[in-house]
Amino acid sequence: MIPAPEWCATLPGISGATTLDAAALERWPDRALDDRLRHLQFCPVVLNEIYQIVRYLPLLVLEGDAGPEVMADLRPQSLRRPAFDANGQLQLGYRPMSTRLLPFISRPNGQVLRLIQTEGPTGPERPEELRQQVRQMLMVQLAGYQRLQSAARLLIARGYLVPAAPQENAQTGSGSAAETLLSGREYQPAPDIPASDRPDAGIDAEAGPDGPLALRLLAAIEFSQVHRRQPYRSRQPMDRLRDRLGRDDVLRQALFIDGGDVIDFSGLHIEATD
Amino acid sequence: MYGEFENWETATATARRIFDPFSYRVTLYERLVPICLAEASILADRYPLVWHRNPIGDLDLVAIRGLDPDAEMPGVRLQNRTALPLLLQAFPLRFQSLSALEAAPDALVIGLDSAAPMRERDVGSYILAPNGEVTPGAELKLNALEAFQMDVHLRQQLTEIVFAEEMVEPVVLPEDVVKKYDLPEFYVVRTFVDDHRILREIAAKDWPVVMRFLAAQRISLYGMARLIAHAEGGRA
Repeated sequence: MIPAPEWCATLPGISGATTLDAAALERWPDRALDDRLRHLQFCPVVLNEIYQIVRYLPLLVLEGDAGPEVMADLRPQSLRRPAFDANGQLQLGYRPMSTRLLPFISRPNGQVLRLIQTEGPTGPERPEELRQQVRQMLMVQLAGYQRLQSAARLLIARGYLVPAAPQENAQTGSGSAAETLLSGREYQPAPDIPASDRPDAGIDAEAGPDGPLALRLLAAIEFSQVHRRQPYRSRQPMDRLRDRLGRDDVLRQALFIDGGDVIDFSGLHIEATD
Repeated sequence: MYGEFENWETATATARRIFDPFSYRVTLYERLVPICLAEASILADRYPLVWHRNPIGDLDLVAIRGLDPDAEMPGVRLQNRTALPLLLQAFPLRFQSLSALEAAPDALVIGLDSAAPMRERDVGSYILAPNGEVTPGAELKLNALEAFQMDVHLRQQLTEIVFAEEMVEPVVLPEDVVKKYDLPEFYVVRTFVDDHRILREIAAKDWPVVMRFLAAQRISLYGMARLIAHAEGGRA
């Protein structure tokens, strides 16, 4: 038996995990852990669901035991709108894939596991095709996690993601185990630095095949921050429009000067003087 | 979206007044509004971002704000001015021609649209103050226009690349919805596209903007269902 991965550790009634083998795939109950999902602090995100998830949840990049992992943040204190209602039901328009395959999990370090539940029904025996299907889905999920991990690594290496600065108005004294767990291991998008000042090289063709994916991931992370109750600290507040313009005085550009003829010189002749 | 063009000199000489965007019909009723790449990330939450062919036959990058041409755009009255597409924030100030923008951005001509405000919520503002300086209200609109045209080269380049290499696909909508609201065909970059084919012709410094836009487009498409539900619900 091995310890359950960090993101599952807060689920009650779980004593650990085992590597997925034929025995572990024999039987499982329907909706095995649905009633306990509200105990999750965060859950891993699959590549193919990134664009849907960011419409509901902020993305969180966390240093795990084998490298950075891209998660969706479910902590009630992080979110403007809690992910779970009073009855523990997920109240978002989308349910993350990693929660749908429980008790089966895959991890970017290559592990494919099943969580061991201390109590609850064992469920009916499952037909072979279904077991194969689950196995395949877990492998696809694993590949997805690994691609996101490489993309996150590239973003960190090139300075687009930096260690998260403690939030200014952080509630002190509420230090639950989960809070201290994550502090020091979270990454945030680097506050806006003009490309010319960027110490690390930006992402270009040299960055390899994951470059474009890394930039998509960064865009998704930035977009999803809107769901945070408290945004990550940024370097300085910047007015959006000015930020885009990068210039301080539109009048100097004289954009509104009409190209038409104001004075008509066509009738002017210069007579040669003797 | 635009009506007749009035040039700057005439508008300022006749002391035309301009109003906030929500006073004009376009803001409340225009379904398809051209957008720039930089604002895509902000708009993606609300509007699907797609290409379509305008009446001249050019490909326009637009935000779909609603489907029913006779109804107000969903949620428009509750919006912040800064959440509107830039061209609406700038209205009635406008470029003389958006296609000229792409052909020769140095030949920019800015003027006013002839549209009168639908309802004047206040007395509005003059374009120029008595001392000849641009008023704050007009300056805001000019800023919006300038922000819009800032990435026009990149926008044009990206459109050419994705359409030339056939990396776009039409957006599939229910047939009855397309018929009922008389929707044109919309195009988006394919879900699984080789990003390197797009980026190899684009300067590395522009990669973040392009990838942000492509991610924003993907994110925005999940909002199409909401627009359909809103339109159908309104007619129920």
